[in-house]
Amino acid sequence: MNKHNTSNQTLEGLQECSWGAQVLQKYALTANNAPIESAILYPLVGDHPPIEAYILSLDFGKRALKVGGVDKFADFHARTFVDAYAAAKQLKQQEESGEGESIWKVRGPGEAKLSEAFRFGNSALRTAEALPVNETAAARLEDPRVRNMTICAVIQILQDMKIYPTVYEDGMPVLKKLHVVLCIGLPVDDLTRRREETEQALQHLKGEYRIEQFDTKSGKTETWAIEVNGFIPTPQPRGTHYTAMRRLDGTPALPKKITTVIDIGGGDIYAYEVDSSSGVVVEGQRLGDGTIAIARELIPLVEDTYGVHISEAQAQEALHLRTILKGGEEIDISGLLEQLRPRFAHLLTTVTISKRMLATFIIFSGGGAALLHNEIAAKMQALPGQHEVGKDYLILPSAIAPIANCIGLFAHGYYRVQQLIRTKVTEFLELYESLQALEEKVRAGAAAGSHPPADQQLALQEGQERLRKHVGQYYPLIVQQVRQERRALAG
Amino acid sequence: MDNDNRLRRGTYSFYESTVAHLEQLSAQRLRERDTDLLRQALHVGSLFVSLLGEADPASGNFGLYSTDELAVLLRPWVVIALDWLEQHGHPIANEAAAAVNIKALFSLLGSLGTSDFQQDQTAQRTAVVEGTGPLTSPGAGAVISGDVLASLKLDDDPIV
Repeated sequence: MNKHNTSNQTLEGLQECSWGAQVLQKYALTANNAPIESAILYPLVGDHPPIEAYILSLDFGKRALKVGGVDKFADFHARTFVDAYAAAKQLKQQEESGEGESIWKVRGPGEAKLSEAFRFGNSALRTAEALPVNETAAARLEDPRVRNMTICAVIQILQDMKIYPTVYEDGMPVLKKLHVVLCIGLPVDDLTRRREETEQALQHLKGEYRIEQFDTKSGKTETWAIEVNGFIPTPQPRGTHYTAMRRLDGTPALPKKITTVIDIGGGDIYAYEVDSSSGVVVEGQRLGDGTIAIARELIPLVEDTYGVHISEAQAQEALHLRTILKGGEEIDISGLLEQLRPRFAHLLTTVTISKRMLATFIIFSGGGAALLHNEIAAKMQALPGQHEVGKDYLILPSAIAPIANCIGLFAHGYYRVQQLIRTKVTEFLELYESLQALEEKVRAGAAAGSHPPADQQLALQEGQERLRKHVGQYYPLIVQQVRQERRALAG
Repeated sequence: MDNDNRLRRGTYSFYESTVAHLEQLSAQRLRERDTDLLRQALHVGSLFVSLLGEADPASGNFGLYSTDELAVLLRPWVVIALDWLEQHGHPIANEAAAAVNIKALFSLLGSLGTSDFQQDQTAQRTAVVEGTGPLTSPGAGAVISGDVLASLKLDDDPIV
């Protein structure tokens, strides 16, 4: 096992071989003795060579957007962006200590002009506009502000992965178009009852984007060209499930039949029953409000104590950061949060651990699981009967609970693209074998002195032409694997 | 930009995939014409093809160039290629992969001039299917077993 960094993170019942544990311990991600990375040869169209694309994960939460990817050293990167957007009036270099902020402009597919300049995420919190958070995923994705934030979040994770917008040719920087395939985690409802509407909204997001990123510290503008080539819409709980229950090679990390994922998010708490053999979500149920309920209690408390008004989005962030801004400085509000502790436990009263749930393996996930870790542990210990961490339930470690969906969504995206490649390779092999059979027939006919019929000649020519261009030929290792599997099946 | 198969219609006779590749590159970059790229490709390619030749017994040259001149001309392209491989996650320091690729490169260079394009392509495809060619391809990454992928029921989440 290749360990890039030493880490003393406690696994808290997570299996060492699981995606979650590997990311938590900052191991290089490998499967079957080869690195896993975002960059992959993606078979875009059947008769064209594959393109180099990046598989990224995108957890489309109601209160925050999380993006993840794996760099060329097989290290996982993730970023969380608070759902906050603010128009920026001017692009101006500022004297700042520390890191500068980015101000963005985006031109989407088919658009003639760049968007207004804007900030998003933490840097937009103070002046954020209200965004549609309680709408359907389709409605949210169709809001150009949400779309633009999403694309810029993708760029920021690419930057973390040390992927640059330009390449140097003859010493000159040249803009390089970067292709991405996004495994997007969405609420289960948006992929069941409203699937068609959701897929249509995603279709509209595909295409080429031109982005300008202005850095307030350096005063420089960087231009990016991104093409979104595909989306893999996936139910969010499948992400957490893969994170805790799958090894990197896709095999189960724990032999459990049914799992319940309790996702304590910013907006809602959901419980989902997941079929552990496949990761398919069987059933979902909303249990109550997420950590927004505590954040709303924090707002008047901050106002009374410090005379400062904070928004709901700022309050949510303050719960995790334990600080607020006052007089331009960060103030520690740990004392206020201690006053709210009874509210923490109260939030969990909506989470009824039923006997049906106890018959399954329970995983507590989401930003709320990190925040309420001790309260959840106390709740589980108070249940009748003995329930062991790692055997009966897991509270995902605080360092990965907020990004658990994101980690597993990357895994799912990686597997999904691998399966797409396999499908193409199988097509290629079937074509190759059928052509071989046809060639054999023509040769046998020629040996018997007969000229091959015109339709046979035409089929041979067409087949050879298709084979010559087929994308399957670019994956020699997978060709060999699929061929062996087909031979084994044929007996 | 005029991208009307100039090279295909011209007096040159090149491998079809090379022509298609240059046309595609030209269309992507929108800075040079495909014919400009062809001239550059000829120049760079000729340097590498020199490696196949034997030095002239009298002059000691490889084609027009002495060993030192050829080394000077080759070096920047080798450095660029090494950088590119590094940047794209396939450093040449991976010795096993390098050995395979260099073998494949020499086999390809060796086939130039002795077999036509169609034969090359067919041979390459056969090598892919029969497993006699290099088994690595850039960006291939870790390969997940077919049985595992089937168990994950991935078709439930189509790529949109």
